Amino acid sequence: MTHQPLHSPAPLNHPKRLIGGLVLGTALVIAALGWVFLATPADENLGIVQKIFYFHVGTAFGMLLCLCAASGAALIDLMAPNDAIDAAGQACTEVGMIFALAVLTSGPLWARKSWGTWWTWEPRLTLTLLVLLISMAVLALRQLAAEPQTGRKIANALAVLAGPVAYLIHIAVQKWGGTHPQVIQGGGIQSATMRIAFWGSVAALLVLGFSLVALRVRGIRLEQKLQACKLELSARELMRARRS
Amino acid sequence: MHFNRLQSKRWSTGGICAAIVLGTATAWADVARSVEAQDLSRYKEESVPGGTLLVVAYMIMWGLVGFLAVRTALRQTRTERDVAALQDRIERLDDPSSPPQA
Repeated sequence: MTHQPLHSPAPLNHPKRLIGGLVLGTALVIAALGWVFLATPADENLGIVQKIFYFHVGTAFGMLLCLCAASGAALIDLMAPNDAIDAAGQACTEVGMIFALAVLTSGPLWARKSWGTWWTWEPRLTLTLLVLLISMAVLALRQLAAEPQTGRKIANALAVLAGPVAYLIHIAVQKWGGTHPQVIQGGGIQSATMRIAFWGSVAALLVLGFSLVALRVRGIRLEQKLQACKLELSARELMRARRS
Repeated sequence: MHFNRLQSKRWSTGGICAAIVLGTATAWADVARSVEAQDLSRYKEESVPGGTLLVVAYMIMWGLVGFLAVRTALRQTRTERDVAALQDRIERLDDPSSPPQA
């Protein structure tokens, strides 16, 4: 005789699909790296360090998309709690935080050569740091809250802020100026080879980012299933002890 | 008479204040100019190794992404194992012939 489980989360994605997505993302990244280093010429003024640009902007796009998605998911989960939406929001925050860290380490390394300084407190950089701190705080709240449901609510309320801040990062240079260049909005890339390298890198990073989010969603859903199994086991053990 | 003395006192106080402000501003501008000149000369002589910065940036970027992927995969394997073990325990509880567990 088999009992229906007390809690039955939605079925999980098949790992083979996720591995396929990761392999595709990695293959695209390797192809983009090959194009960047073998086919694209170095910049006349900045030299080879300009090649940071292709993946710096790609990770920035990934960060903005992930944090906007996390913000939307947090808002939906606050209005109508749903474990699957919550898992998606949490996964987007984690991948967005990793991308934000990549942006904030690759950016200063490039700035050291092009601006002569590692960091300036200009609007776009400051807002990017703020969004990184918000995502770190969201994840810390989830991990450290004594009561998981309360932690989830507070973390979601904070995660909602990441969306507007991500939008402000996008418009910061047009709105408040600063030293950060505007390559895409300000005229675009002139060389066709560089354009292919740029959009190829962006596409590769977005595929990789999406695969990482899907992988992480599966992990979070598994953790939710583990908690449900623990609850179910306790309930059944209690029922059995009462019967005997 | 008294008025004239007061007036001249005000003028001299104002003049002294203006001289202090002007002097300070000129000195400050001079210092700023010399510091700027020193900085500029330092930046002209400095050679920043672009290749090293590029390698470090790529290592950090791919290190972070790789760390996330490997950590997620390892955690998932462990959680899957735990879920399977718990489901096995639940199935054994359903079996009436199995002894009660502590």
